[in-house]
Amino acid sequence: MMMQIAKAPHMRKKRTTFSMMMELFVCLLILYAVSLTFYFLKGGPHFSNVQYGLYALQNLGIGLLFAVLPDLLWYLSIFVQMRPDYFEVKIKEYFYKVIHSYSYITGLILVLLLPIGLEWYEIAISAFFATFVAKLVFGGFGSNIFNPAIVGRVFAQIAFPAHMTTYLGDFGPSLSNDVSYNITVGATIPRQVASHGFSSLFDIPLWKMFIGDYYGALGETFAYIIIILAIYLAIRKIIDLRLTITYLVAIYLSSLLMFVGFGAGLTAFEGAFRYVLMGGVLFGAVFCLTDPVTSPTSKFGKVLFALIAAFFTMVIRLYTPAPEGVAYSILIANIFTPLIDKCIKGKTDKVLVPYLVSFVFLLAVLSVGLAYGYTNTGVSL
Amino acid sequence: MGFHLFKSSEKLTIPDNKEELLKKPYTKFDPEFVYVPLSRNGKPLREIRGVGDYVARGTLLALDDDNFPIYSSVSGYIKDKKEMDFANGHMMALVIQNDHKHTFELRKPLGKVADVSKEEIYKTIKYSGCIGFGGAGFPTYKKYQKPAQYLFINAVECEPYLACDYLMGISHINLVFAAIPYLLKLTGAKKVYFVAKERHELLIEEAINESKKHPSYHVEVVKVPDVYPMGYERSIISYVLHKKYDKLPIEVGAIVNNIYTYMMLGERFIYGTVPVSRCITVAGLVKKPQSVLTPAWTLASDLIKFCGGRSTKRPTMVVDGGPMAGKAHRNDFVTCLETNGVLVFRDKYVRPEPCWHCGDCCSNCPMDLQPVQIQMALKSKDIDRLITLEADKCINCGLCSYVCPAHIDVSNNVQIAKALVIKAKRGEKK
Repeated sequence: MMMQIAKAPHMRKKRTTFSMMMELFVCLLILYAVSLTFYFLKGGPHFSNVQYGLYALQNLGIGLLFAVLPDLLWYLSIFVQMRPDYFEVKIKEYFYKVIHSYSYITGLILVLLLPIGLEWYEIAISAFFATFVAKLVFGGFGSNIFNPAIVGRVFAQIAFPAHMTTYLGDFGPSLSNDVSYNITVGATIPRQVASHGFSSLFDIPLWKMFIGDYYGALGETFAYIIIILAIYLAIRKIIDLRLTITYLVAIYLSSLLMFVGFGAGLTAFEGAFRYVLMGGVLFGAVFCLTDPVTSPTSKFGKVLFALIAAFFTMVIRLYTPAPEGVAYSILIANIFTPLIDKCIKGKTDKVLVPYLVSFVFLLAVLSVGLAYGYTNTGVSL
Repeated sequence: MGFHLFKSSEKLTIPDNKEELLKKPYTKFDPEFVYVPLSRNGKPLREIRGVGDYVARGTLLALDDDNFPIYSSVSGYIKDKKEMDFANGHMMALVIQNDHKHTFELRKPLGKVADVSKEEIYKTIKYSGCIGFGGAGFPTYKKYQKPAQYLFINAVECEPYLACDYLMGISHINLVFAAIPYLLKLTGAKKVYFVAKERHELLIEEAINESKKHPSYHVEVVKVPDVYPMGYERSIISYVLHKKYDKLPIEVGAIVNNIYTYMMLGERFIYGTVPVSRCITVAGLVKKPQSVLTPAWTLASDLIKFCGGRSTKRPTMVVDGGPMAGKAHRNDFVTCLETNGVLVFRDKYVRPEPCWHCGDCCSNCPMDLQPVQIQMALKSKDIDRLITLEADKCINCGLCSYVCPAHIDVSNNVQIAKALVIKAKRGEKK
């Protein structure tokens, strides 16, 4: 076989997609390790600490296995199609394809996005669905439109809403009738805010919220670890902080206006800070929104994309019965990615239009919080 | 250069592997055969001399339609006429056997600056057969058809490995400055910028000393940062003058020429020699990497043999020019006048991964283009989209491929798109 001669340039950066993905994988594993320690030490209701820890481990194992399983099945087609007909070549190609599909990262992100209360088969179905429907059907790594991990999470939320709890065991229906039982167990903070008003946002001390000493999805509560990892990943240029910061700032300002609308006074600043820490905002902004495959390519596009995601996060959190809005909003923003890419034409050296357009989009995000705040003035905090 | 929210502002410093090469002084090489091409831009030249004739160094061999000449680069007999592979294509060539006698055929040097007319200088530049030595090979006289305000001496040499301009510059800076008064008179320019990398301290020092000797030339030495692609005309002009232009630098009143071109013009004006030799950096996987001063149109394999041969037994390829923009050859080829490097690299195939749209190519493009979008539009053969993406503005610097973590040949794809867009635009005009 005559190979084509290499094209210029004949020097390449040492950094490869594979090495970047491996670094991301290690970062996610660190976050998971912190979460695992938390469950081993703190535990939860009805079961012992060790059982909570073991369940967290089981979630990881099942998530990774069933995220990679579709790849293992899908790429069996190599053995039928590929030529030349050497078995060693085929087996090499098969494992290359499976490893370079990066589904284990999808699985790990999905595990971190889900709370501990899910049964093992529910995690398995979600992980399988995430890789198979959101990634492989669209053409494998690099061709997917939606973030696979987020698709898996949304699937779990729709298919198994009863088990999306932060404790183990099936105590859902009886729990709400039992007034004496502490209501903060079981529901994530966004759900409590939706059902019990904004005062429940202030139940936990701020420092506990920051170090993650409360129940939520497996990976989303440990704010300081996520921030450290985000800084590391940004320095290594694996994620683009442009997206993360735009998204967080837009949500912070919007919720700040909302709390001002409530008449919260100076507490508004703290409230807005809690609002950014609560739920999966931070985790989504660092690990899901920045997924290069499903976000626009140009810098302006990335800013617009983050603002659109922030807009839908606010709308879904405040105006719909699905309080954990981050996953849905990222999914909706993903739809806009090809459109944004198409709208940005030619040379990107003009600055005025990007600033004006992003300002208009930021105003739209702010107006959501503002409108909710002033229509619900006097909410007890 | 800092952070920008929307512009592509990340200028890259790429490892240039030059330390050793910059320290070694250049060596001279006299090959046994040279191969003079008999066509230019695909058009055959009018031959003046044929097989069997004796030619000296600088004897006129052929002319093109515009009377732009090609001279012999060695003295000796013309042995043969055959097809050869050149760095820029397959062409008919005259084979001249070198007799190592170094007989010169000199032209008349220009007199004092005050005595010569503009017309005379222009004709001298044209009939010296001087081309742009920076790597593009654009005939120099075409740049001097209009008056200009600024002259630029481009000594940046931002391509990795290449050291020939630097080495020739530090030893022949007087020739560079000898060309300036004639060119100032021809263009009516009032200001000369000598642009060099801040890392090349010796060259900058020499240039400053020389400019102090000739205050009437108004030479300003500009240091540019060690980033790629700083040596491109556009980068230099936007760095020094803060101006942008559409196609040619003459639009903002500037003429940019390589330091080597200045040197060759200076030699022609003062001594009457025509530019037929060339300093070429031979590096990469060779035993003794160095810069070699050689007659033009030498075989690349001769140069590599002169430098001790390849240092590896694995399959290699030879790159004509710098590693970022040069073309790779698997077979032997004849170097051109504009060839500034002969680099030996491993010939290996790196498997590309699928594009994951990270946008690194967009944020590093010196022309603020979107290579990833151009590539996607090219895949779907969407010419209208390619035109709106301005694919024809690409300067072929190769940075998009360099930064691509998936090792895709982005730069090559953009080149294909550029050719399509230029073709489509021409079609529209007709």
